[in-house]
Amino acid sequence: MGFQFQATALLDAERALQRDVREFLRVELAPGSYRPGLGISSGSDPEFSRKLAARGWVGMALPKQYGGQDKTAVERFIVVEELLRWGAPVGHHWVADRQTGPLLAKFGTDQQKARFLPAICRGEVAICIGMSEPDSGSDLASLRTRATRVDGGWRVSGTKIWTSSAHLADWMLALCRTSQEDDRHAGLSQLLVDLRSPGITISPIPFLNGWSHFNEVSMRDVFVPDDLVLGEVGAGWAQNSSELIYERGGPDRWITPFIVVEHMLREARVDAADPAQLAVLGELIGRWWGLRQLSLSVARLIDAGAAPAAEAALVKEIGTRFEQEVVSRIADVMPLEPIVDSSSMFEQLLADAVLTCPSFTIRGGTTEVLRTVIARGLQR
Amino acid sequence: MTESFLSASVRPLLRDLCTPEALRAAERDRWAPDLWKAVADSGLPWVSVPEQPGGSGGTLSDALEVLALAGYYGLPLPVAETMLGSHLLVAAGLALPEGPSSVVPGTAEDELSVKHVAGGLRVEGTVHRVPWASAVRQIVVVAEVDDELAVFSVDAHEVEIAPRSSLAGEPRDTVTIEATVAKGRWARPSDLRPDADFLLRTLMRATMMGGALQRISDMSLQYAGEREQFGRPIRAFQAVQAHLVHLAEEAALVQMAAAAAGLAVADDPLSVAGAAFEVRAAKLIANRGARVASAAAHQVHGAIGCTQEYPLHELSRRLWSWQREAGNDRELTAWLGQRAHAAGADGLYPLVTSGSGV
Repeated sequence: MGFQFQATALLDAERALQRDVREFLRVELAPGSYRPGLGISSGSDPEFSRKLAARGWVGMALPKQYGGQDKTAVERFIVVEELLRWGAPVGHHWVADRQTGPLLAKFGTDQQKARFLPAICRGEVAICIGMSEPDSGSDLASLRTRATRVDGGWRVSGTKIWTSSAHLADWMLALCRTSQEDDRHAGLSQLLVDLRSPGITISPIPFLNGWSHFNEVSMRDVFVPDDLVLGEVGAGWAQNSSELIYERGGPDRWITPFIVVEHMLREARVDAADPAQLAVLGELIGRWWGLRQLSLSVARLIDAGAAPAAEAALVKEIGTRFEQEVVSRIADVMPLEPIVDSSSMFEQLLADAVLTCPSFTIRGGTTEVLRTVIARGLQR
Repeated sequence: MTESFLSASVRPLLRDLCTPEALRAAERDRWAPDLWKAVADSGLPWVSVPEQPGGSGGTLSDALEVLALAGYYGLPLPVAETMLGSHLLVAAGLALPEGPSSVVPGTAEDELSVKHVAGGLRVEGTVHRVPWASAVRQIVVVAEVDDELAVFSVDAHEVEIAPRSSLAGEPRDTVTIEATVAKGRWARPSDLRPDADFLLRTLMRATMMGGALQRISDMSLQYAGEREQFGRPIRAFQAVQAHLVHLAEEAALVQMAAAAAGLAVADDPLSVAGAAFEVRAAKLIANRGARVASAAAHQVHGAIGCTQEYPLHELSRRLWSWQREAGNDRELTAWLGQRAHAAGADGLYPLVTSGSGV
């Protein structure tokens, strides 16, 4: 019974890396020189991703043999938290760096690793996640996208939805049903789908505030060759679950509105004589420190060879609810409604945050699904 | 998490001592002499106090392990207070006395005058919320004398004590002192920071709260597995699971925050002022955890959890009490808010990652 969390501090070499990343971003993303974004919805900039990759900070935890740096999950954590708190445009390399790269390194064939990992580490390949479907959200195993055996590979038909940045991506890692089994978690497989293949249609789904990162990806008899099946045919569910550890426990699940608070100070919107504003600021910063410690310890667990699925789910469940609380506490303590197209970056960011924060507790697994994962962990 | 050797030996001792009957008796009698004897014989109240002047040795992290277990079992004894008082006396170069100690927490309602007189320090006035004042041998005080910090102790039998109780039924007495503290009972520690005793007490409380939260999480999980309604254990219901998850989360987060704050303190426990941000943040997180988790634990337990017979209240009442002492939300958020404001836009994230070490 209980979790494996253990308090940890950064080592000297890790602090040195933190200093290096901060210095790089201070030069590369000076305030006013770019439009900061909110966490993982911060937009795509292939040029920025390539520059970051040139410093060795994309795919850094991947094997050296394939262009990575053999760095630890903690070192990647340090780089990622800095990028996100700066509101850096990480969209181009984000999914490949966070989850598809590590998944390929773990389950891919030598040929797949040689084909994808060096390009991922150069920041040149954009990958999107093909999990949800119109009728399969939280109940992912009910998905209906079907891959049928054909000569030399698979023929895939079905529809993936809520696919962030599919319109900008080169590949989609799609979870498909490759056979019908009594156990519905069996018979699923992960296929790397080339989004330029014939039979693919990508349709935008405008977000409630007009943002255009959501898509529907429909596949009609799309051919996927055998060498683009990731890992074992039929083992997709387990592989997908291990992918979710990378997707759930990291800084992107608690840091999203930090840039809003930073701009609140940058634009001197906090009245030091107003105890209510100071109290909100103090409470949020104190709690941020603690959540970061919890999330950092998940990275240490990954480095120790553990598979902290329940711990990662816990960080996301508590972290994303905290993110929403940050947004409402800040908005509520400000004297006026934030104007969407204000000349103030703080107001723009706060408006974006108010409008988009309902998605924080939905994307990457809803809070309700996470609770069932955590509850199972409690029964261990 | 694998349990340390220290925890593995302390846990059964405290588990066997802290029976529901023993806790009830301690509250009724305002002191538990048998419990104190067993715990003192094992040296636990002096863990982390150097062996040379008479402590049990060990590190701050050892002390925090002991206190986490004390919190877990609701140990009704001034163990944290004895540790804190002993550290203050040792830092001042004063002799380490026998028996349990308490420390005046120093609240806004105190009225205490401390002056130099021939033969020592003249101390007059009334202080409040002194833990177990009527049961301890000596009461340690940190006070300003002529703009300098002084540490002194007074014998508990030399003061007038009005018994008062916390929300948890633990003694938090009102103490009226009229005494002259002789040479040898007071000193000016050269490198004691003014907030060191507050911060060490705060770190200790946050750690005890982490233990208490883990306990109510464990109790709720077990109860929800045993209690059946609608033909099923209530933990089978998602609405109940949500409470159990929130309990486990708060327990994990608070223990993490307290442990991380402990890691930020260098070897000497009274150098805690070097981790002023982390300790306050940890207590703030513990206060919130107490609020969220005690509500969830009571909801899981239903009516039985609201009875004196069922031991949930031994933990939830302590959490409600500890939440409001050694750093309440109001003072903590004010301090943290000023610190964050002073850090400014560029210093704000370094504060989140490095705390006081920025």
